[in-house]
Amino acid sequence: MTGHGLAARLASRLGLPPDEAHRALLLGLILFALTGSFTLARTSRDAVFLARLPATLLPYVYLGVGAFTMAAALGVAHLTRRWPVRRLLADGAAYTAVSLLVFAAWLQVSARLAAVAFYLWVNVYSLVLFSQFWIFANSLSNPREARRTFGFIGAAGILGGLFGGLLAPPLSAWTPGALVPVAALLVVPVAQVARALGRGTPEAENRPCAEEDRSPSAPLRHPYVRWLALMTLSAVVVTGLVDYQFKVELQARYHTAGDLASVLGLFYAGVSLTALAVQLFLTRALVRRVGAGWSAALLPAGLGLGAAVTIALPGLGSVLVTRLWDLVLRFSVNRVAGELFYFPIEPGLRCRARNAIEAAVRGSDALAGVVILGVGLFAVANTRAVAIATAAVVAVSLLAWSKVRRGYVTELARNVRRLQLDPAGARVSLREAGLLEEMTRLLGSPLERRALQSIEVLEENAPELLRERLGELLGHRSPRVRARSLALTRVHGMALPPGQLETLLRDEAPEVRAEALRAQAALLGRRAMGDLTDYLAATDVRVRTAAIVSLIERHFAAEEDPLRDLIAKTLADGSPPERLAVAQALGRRDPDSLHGFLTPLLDDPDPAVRAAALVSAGQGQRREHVPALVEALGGRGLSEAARAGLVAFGDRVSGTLGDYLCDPAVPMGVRLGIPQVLGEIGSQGAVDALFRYREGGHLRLAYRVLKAENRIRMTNPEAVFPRGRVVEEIARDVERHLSALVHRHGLADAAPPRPDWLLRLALGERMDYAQNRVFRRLGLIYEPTEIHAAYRAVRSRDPRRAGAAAEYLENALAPDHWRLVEPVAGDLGDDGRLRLAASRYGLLPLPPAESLEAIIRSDDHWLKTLAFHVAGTRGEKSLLPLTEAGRSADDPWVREAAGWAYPILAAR
Amino acid sequence: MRETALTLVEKTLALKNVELLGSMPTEALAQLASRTQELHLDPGEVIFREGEASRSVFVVLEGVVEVRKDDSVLRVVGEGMVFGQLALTDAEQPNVTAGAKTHAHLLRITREDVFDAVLDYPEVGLALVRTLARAVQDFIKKVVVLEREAARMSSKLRGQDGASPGASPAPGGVGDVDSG
Repeated sequence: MTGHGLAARLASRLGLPPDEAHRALLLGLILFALTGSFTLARTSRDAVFLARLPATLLPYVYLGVGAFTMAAALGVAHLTRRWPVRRLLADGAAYTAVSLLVFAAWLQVSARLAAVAFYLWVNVYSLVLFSQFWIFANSLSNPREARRTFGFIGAAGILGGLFGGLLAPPLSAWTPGALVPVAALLVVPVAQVARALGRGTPEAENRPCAEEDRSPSAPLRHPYVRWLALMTLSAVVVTGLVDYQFKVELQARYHTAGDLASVLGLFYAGVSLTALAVQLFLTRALVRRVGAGWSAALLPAGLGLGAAVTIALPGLGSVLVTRLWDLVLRFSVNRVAGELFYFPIEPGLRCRARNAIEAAVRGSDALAGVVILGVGLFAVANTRAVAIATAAVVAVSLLAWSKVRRGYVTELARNVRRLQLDPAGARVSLREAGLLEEMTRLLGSPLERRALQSIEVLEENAPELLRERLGELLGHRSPRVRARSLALTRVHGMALPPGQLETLLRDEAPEVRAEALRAQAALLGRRAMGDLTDYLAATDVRVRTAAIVSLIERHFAAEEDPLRDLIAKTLADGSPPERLAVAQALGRRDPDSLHGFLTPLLDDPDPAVRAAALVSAGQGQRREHVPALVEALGGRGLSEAARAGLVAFGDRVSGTLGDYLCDPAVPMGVRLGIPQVLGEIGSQGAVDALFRYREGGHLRLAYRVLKAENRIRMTNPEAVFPRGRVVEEIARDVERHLSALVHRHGLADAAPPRPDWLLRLALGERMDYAQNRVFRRLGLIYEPTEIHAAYRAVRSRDPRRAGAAAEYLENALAPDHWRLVEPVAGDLGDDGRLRLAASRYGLLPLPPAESLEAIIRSDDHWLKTLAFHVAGTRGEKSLLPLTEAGRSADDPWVREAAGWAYPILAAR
Repeated sequence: MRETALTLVEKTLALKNVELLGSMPTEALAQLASRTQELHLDPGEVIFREGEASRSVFVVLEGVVEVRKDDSVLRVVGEGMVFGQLALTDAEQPNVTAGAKTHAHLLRITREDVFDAVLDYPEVGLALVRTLARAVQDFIKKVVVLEREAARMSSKLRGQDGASPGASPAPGGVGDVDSG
């Protein structure tokens, strides 16, 4: 069978896309060869060492391994900044093959020195080569692909170990020196396959730790990387300690190189066989079910248990089982889970983090040696004493694991946000854009429009810059600029230069005088009517209005009655601008009896006055104005003012708005305006009012309600959303998504502009809406910005982004929530979704006529309309009874479509 | 001018094929379609005259419509195209007349309905900006052509030879049918 044939079978068996299957097959082949070779080399290493030297020498050898490999790590780190990933692995494999052949020859002529050197070298090359292999595999995959394929790749590696383990005893029996040359031969094809696989793949051509990828901070300053390093390091120290106990116990029973090679070969074969079984039957399911985080806990938990048993019952049995657990888990579950922990780290940091951790791991052999020697200082370094030390290191490992597990979700979220490549949604600060400087310069422009535009921009973004230029602006040649600058002093409480106000009160332009009057009122506090007599009698309406406004805003309590007369007279005889100014000024007062004047203004013939009265009515907070405010929500031209008024009314109106929202007798225009108001009020009362609305057939209203809930979630972190209800609605949306998918699948492709094409389009939109709603609802009960980033990544066409988002969601959501939303958020593909639709909801693709019938029986009025039309154009006679009934439907669209289709079907 | 009734689905399909509205979701488009007015015009029949504010956008479903200023044809609008977009602005309405050149089948959408669509679906606003930008570009091209023509005529009048290169009307010039 060809490679492609194998890949095709693998693709169908594991449900993988063909390109993924091809990659997985070749990566599996490489790992098979690497592990097979390493198992032979390791068997030979241990057998040669234990036959020629005492096991008690091992702690010193561990120290040597640590020092030697740390030095090698520096060289490798240097290379990773210069060589592409592909070359690192391919050339590394070639050099390893050559070095093994050299050692094979040396071991024949030297006894002790060659044994120690070989022990050191096997540790060095295995760490480097396996590390390069996983960097290479990571560069070709994304987290979701890794979940699907790394299990298979790991299994191939274990098979290699099994192959090497089973080959070792007969080879060793034939001639003990044959193990190492065969190990060298096995590595040779790795170079070729790595070159072929990485060719043309941009990621594999990249340098894993290129200089330009360097982030400013060192990797170990990143807390997640630090905990990951500690977790890995402690796990390797434990491995060293357990390995030592195992070898001490082994040497006590077996003495010749042949016996040791046979036993070790069989042991490693047993390890591989067990690991293979775990990999095939447990790893994939475990990682998919509980995620990388919990899967990674199995190893330290088991080692802790093993250490406890060894303390109680020291001997080859307990040590062998612990060592078996250690190797089996490290080759299967932990290999896959451990690799997943690297994915969310940003690419430049990821590589350097890996290098730093690998360096720490290399040093951890030495650490194991130090621990054993340290134990020897206080007691005899026997199996029980070392087991106590092992238990202590396992405790550290478990602590680090718990930190990594929590950090993994956080890092996944960061990764999803980092992958948002387009800047949509990002707010560009004016400061950052450098526009402020330009606007400040334009303040000095003699041109009125330029100066006013600069004031507008700066007032919103940097009012402090206006303060510095106030004197200059108040002397501007344009009256509009002077008046606008005076308004700034009032609104922002800016101090006027001495004597400037008096000058401006005598300004030749009435609009400046009017504004100066208001500024003066703001400065002085209360105003007496007597001070304003001249202004109240001014011929210019702007000056007169400013005087009335300043009195409404700041009159003395004793003068309320004459003020009432003045307002009544203005409302009766005043021009629209005067009535407008009164309406606006009333809105700036705290709620009191003067707001009663707003009642006639709410029916003013001038729309601008009505709009101002609506805004002020909200600020006045009088109950009798609520119906007018709500009614205006549905009116064109006034809805914005009504919304502002109701928002100003605040939480006191939330309950009433909830009543209107849920009342089907209220005009739809009004109901459509309510969610936005509640969203802007943003209180817990607003949330409760929104959740009183139960979704019916009106998609637009339901969507606006959801958008308002999302808005509150973003603006009010204290707001509590009913979790049970949210989950219930998510479940309904997922079912709607799958139902639309199934129907779309059942209807054949049609070219535009046919009605069946429109129906398929509408079904696709229903799927999109449902997906959007699911994420919006998730944002109510999880971190909204991260859920939003995940939504955008899932919607992108980039499988890497979508994969990262799915990985984040699977880890961030509660397991039952993830299972619920997997059909709309996971990377299942249409086939996977169809399978879930069938298994979870019993939704099966139907023939077109039955699909149309199901849609007609649904409560979606637009889809029903289209389905009737399609039934008519297709001549689906079986739908005649339903079509006849549809002619008397309440919905006018459905009625019209059924009425159109009926005579066509009846005539057939 | 007479009215007939397309079904809602047929109107929606027609609007879906209009570039300006093609990005709207189908149900929103159906809502817009339900508020449109359908018009059938005979050749020569006028849709709106100079001095009348139409306050509507028209979609040509079938036939050809001419937009005129006095005796000059400013624009010829074919099937699947839209005219009257300037009715959406607050600017003074252009003094033009629009009439059917052949038998024409149109949908009329009011300015308020288009605004509602823009508010709910910003992509309609973007499509509108694109359409208007293209119209501005077309006008600039026409101005350039006319300027060259004027320069050529001026040279001719002064008795000099050699019309400037590029004097021939550019694509999209006066009298061309817009290609959408």
